[in-house]
Amino acid sequence: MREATKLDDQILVREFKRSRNGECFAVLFDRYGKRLYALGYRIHQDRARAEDCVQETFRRAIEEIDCFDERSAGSNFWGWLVTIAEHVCLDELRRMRVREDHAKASSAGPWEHGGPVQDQQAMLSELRDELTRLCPEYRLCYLLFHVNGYSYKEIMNLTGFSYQQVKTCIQTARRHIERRFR
Amino acid sequence: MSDDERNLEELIDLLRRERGSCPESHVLVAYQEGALAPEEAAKIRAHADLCGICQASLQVVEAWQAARRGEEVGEAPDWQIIRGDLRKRVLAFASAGGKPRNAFARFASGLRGLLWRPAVAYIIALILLYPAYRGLFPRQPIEYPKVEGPPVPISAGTAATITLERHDVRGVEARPNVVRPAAGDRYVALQFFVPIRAVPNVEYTARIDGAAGIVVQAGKIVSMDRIGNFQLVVPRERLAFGSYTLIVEEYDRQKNERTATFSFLFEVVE
Repeated sequence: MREATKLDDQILVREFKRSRNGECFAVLFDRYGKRLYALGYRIHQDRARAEDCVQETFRRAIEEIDCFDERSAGSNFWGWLVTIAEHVCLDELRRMRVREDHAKASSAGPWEHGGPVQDQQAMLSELRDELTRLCPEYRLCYLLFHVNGYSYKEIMNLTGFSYQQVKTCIQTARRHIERRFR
Repeated sequence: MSDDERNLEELIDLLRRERGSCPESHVLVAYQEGALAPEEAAKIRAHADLCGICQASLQVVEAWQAARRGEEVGEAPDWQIIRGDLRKRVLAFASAGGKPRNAFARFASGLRGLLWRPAVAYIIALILLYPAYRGLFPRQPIEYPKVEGPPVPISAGTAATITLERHDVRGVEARPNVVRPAAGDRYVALQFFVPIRAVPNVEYTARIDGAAGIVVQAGKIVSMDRIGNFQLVVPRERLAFGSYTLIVEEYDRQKNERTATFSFLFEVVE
């Protein structure tokens, strides 16, 4: 299989489809695994989650290899792999979102006591403006904690920030907003 | 909790209700790629401004889009440490043919591995071949043709008995089979021999043809022993003086066909 390292992606994919020889995919892993890991690490800022992302991406790629048309002139294995990795990350976020939706559904329904009154509308608009004025990291942590209702640990997982960073972001944003509404 | 804090909590609750539910992932991807209509894009932007999870999703989409464009991917800490193990796992999955490793797949794979073991393959082959073996060598007792006495009880002095010799055997000069019933004989007992097959599903019939093809008597016959000696008792009044042919047929019920025919000629004379 030493010669396989010199073959291009399309030939390796075709060979894998034909023979289901795992070595073909091992060559593709050697070629793109590190880049994928680096990207996963940049998003998650966490070694284990980046590793999981690479593993899941390759697992799905192998499972759905028949969907990749290596004979097409514009086929790009790296681009296809990145799309899968993107879905892996988004699916993870979606799972959290679904859980959040369930929690919301079990609590009171929307506008149980009628819509916001005029005063509240004005304050709501002010709060929205205040949030957009926050620096993006602070806003993200504040929204995840106060609006979406995630814990510090979950926010650390989502953002890749350390515990101290998450704590600082939330507390700074909260102080800033409370000062405005006092 | 102070009043200010309570007011802020209420406001956040209103915010939560107002922003609505999150869009699907593909909509976020389309938004990030600029593929949505302006009104739709404005809605998504308004929602994402108030939703941490959608902001995180958009950051993910942005990061992967940059990767697709070939931008610098950054550092890969500890890659050399985790690479070996990760590669093994990917290789194992690829070698399994990329099939999902659910419980059934694991069972099928295990079974496949087991089938390759010679001892197991031998046992399975034996199990599969057993019905054929039973068919070839039936274990049930052989049903020999039943030994029965003559269908009509005859007492001495009431039947004319004759042992018939076959006329259909090539190269054998058969003696003429002649029966001379006495005046008081009520029956004619025809004794003959045909080589029978002592196997189940084979039965024998006998038919006596008279002149001009008139059937005098016909029916199933059973051997008196396991070799093939038969005795056929015919009422005397059915046999007028003349020539007759006794035809014995072997019939295989399983194959549903006639497998052998034997014939005897005999004459009834005064």
